[in-house]
Amino acid sequence: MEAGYFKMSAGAVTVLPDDPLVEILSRVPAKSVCRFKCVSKAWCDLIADPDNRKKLRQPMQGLFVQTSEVSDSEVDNGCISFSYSFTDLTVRSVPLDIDTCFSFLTEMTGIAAFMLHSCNGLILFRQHQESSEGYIVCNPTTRQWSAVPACGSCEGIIHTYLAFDPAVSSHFHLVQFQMPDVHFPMPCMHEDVVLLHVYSSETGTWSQNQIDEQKEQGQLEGWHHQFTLDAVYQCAFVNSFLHLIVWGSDGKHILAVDVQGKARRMITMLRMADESQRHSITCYLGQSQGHLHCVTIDSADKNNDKLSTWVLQDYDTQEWVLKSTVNSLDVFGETRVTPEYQVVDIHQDCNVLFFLQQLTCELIAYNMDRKEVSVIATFKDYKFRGDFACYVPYFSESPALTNKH
Amino acid sequence: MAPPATDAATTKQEQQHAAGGEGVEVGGDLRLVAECGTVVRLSRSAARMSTTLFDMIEAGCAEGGIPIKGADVGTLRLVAAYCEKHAPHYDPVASAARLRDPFPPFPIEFTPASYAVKPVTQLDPDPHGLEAWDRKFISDLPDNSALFNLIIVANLMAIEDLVDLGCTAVADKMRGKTPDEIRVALDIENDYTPEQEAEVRRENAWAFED
Repeated sequence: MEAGYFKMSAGAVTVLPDDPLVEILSRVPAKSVCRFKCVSKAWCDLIADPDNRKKLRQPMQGLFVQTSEVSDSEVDNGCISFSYSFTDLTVRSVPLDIDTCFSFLTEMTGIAAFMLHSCNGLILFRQHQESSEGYIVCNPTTRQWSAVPACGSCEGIIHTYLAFDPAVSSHFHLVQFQMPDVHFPMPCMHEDVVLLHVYSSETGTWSQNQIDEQKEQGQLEGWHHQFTLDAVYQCAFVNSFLHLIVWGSDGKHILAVDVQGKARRMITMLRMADESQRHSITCYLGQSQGHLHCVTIDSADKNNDKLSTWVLQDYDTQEWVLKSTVNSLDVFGETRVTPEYQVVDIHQDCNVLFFLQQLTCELIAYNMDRKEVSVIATFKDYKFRGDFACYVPYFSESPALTNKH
Repeated sequence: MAPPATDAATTKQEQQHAAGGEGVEVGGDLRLVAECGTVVRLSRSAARMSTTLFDMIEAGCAEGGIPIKGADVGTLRLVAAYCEKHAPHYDPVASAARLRDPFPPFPIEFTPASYAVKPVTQLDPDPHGLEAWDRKFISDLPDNSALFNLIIVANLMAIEDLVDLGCTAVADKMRGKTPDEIRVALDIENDYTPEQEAEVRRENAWAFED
């Protein structure tokens, strides 16, 4: 029996062929697609079919973890080595077939790469080697990867982000912000300068500095004179814009930048005038279920932080809606010392927050709907730095990634 | 009963001679023939929206009746109405490169007229009223069957914009529904045993939380 079988009220039958059905399912969010595996065996097979998987949105499967170690040995003194592992989030009957250690990258003559950012199935690495500086973008599902040369001078502080949305284009973009390091001022970079370069895998080149080249409109003109990038350098990719936290004279805002490097929006953080938010700091910005989310910490109570998760439900009215609050005591339990923790990620498809408890090296998941806490991984290495990238499978073989293992 | 499809092998001159207000007009409307034999007319400019018809026009074999296999006359008339409405503003390049976002669309191009806190005024995102027309077009369909037939015929005729409209409409209806609601809406038989279904649910438990 075909997957889409429909009976008209008059007794006649309309069958929805598989191809249109896949087209329809490709427009449905990952969470719903997963549910629909239960509709019938034919639907389950349709959704799991390798060719169809390339078109269907996939749910977040897990988190890649990067641990770094500084070598103490006499030979490699001070040399940083990276290793990778994977934390699986789903219950599986068949083991996940991906290379969780990125050996397909590291096996090539000693590429030491630092995991920076992931976006819709692709992962961005920065290369740290004498002979070659630059970036690598890879798809762990298809084991394809592409090398991107470094852009210009590598001085100052550099933040680079990956923008990739398969629904829009099979090509990716890199957006690189470059700012002077106030501790090590370079003669060629003035204090206020922010350089912004954009790379497109379609053209294969970096653009010229986008700041001042663009005619930014209205109130966003010259944003870089009034704002600097925040130390919280996370980036959320929502609505085809990269969102970053910036600091201004009136507090923190979120800057939305498009893949050409042009500033498009300045979104206010939660109102500063609101008494309840006065002591809050924003510790995390991310994307979940197609919307921008942020997590704030209210440390008014010394031993018990109040963590609030907010969602920008309506992008146009820019109103933040409170989704959930939880106390750190409830998440981490009673500890002798104030727990040090960081918000690692928010689940792409459901209301779950991931924390790293630095004291115990545990990865903790907090389910906002059921208000449940669970420890999903423990890391043994106490020199653990804790860089995570979320993994969403992307099965399509992309023309943008030129190499394949 | 509609006249039978004209023999496409007749030369253009013969057709022009025989025209006299009846039969095929060269350079005029196309004649699509439904499964029951009824002819639905479609102007050439509207036919451009169908890649299949466009190729036939270019190849010079769009004269005479064009049978659309498996299409009932009601669906064919709806397809023709859609194409006629959209034809004046049809841009094939824009259509091919169009953003396809399953989540509610966000207008990408706009001028921020005021600073962030106040709502931003936008340029009119629907200058020709096509989006409003499309919404009414879909909501006027009598039942799911009509919508499915529309998608099937649009797919057959390779009218990408209409396939997109139809599929998005169905996807919007499906989003967030439970498997049982889908089965009822599409009248699909559940061929899982209770144990099998429980296993699949267990593997995808997170997807069932709301």
